[in-house]
Amino acid sequence: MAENPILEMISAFAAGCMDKANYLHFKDYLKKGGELPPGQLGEMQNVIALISILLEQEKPPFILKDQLAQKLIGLQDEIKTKIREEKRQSATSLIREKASGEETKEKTPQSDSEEKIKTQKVKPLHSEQRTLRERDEKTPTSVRVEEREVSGKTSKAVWGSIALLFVLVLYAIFGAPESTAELETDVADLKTRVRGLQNELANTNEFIGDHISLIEFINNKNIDIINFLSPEAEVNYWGRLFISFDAGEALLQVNSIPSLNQDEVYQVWLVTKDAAFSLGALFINPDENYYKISGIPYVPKEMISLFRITIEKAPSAETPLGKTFLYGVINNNALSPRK
Amino acid sequence: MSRYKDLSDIDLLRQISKYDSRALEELYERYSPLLYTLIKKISSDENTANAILVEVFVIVWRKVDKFDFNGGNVFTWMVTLARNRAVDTVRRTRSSSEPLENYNDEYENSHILPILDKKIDSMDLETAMNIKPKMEAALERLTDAQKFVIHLAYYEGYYLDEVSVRLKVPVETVRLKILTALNNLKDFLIGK
Repeated sequence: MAENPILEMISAFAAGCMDKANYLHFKDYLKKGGELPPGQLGEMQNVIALISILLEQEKPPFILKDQLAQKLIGLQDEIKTKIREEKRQSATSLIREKASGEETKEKTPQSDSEEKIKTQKVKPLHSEQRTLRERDEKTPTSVRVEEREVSGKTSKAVWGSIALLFVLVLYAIFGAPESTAELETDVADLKTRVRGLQNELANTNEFIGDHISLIEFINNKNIDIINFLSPEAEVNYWGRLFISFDAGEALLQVNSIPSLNQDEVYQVWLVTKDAAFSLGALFINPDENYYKISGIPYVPKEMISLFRITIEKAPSAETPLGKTFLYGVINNNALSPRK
Repeated sequence: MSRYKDLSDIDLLRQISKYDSRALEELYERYSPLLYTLIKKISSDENTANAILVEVFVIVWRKVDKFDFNGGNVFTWMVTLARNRAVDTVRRTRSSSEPLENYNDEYENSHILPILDKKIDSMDLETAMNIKPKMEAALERLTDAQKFVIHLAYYEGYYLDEVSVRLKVPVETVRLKILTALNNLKDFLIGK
């Protein structure tokens, strides 16, 4: 049983009860790639961890989740520094690789993550709306298909027309109305009503087209509405944020927002007592009313001081440095979920 | 959150490595009942257990890059991390234990973050919960002495020599009991 002392060491390490000196020796041995009976340590580590599933599980107090969120907010600076360091390191290695004549095509995951934090673009919903409109425009195709089916049944239609014509002739001979003037009046009335209905339909379609993104967004649960105000008096632009903390998404509605210089950009921020989170840069499109914001960081509602739209130097800022263009605070009238 | 609910444990950790706080939230939803129960079993003081649970997820957030994505065993990594953190707290408050080093970043990397076998089989929470009935049966096969030794070492956080003193048996006997207990559990689980 020469293996036994090694196995005893492995089991004590897996159970986490090795004394300090042996623990450090064993750890060093592992780190240096020291050989062990294959699979033994992993199997014992899995077995010992599985003991915990036998406990009757208890949910932690809800407040702990908020405490965790607060801790993460406190770590924001540390993470930013870490990202910067990682970026610097990857940039240095890139320079080295270039110097040695190698091409680097892949982007590092670190730079991906930084881009995500720094410049999460707020996408206009134009493309989604267009898809919906295209879907509507596709209807004539189905009509054409029906027409083709009808022409395939020509003989039946011809006989049907002849029968109809025969009925009309009989009606004209024996049952024609005494006064065509009455009929003309009725037809005119009907035309007017049809025109009115067509206008209503067009208005409804236009409204749906303009607000389809909002209609779709309302399906989310627990939506808060934040009205944005300008710090300046007597301005005609305004904004409104529909935010679903459950879905981590928001819809920003802006109106009459002036365009900026090329080196400037609007940026949306979620501001807590301790930190400000960028929700993304806002690229104004005069044809769009709504801008979708996704990937909103989890921050308890009570911790949010306000939302801000600032004017920053393009492409975006890490912290709000520019002038506040619009701002808003959460009120308590959350929309209830749609049934 | 629905997008995150569909993600596997390891995909959540991948997202967390990209600083995605929603992924951490989902991981918390999944693992917090198990880890909280485990931590409370080790540290019976509720306030301490609360603080440790939060601390464990902060460690996950800060040090997810230390996780071996090739091995991919999220379950064992999470449970071992929570157990190590809780036992460390208990050991620090225990007057009989030898004083531990100051808790800092280096200490955390060395003593709290799990060092798993590079060839460990991957396992997630769902798989682990499916094994529960078999694990219950396996534990029933252990002798009371074996169960007690495992309890003292794993949940109470006693070192080998401390268990030896408490049970008044040689350290070698304690080592052998732990090995036998784990081997028995393992053999029953894999059907030997």
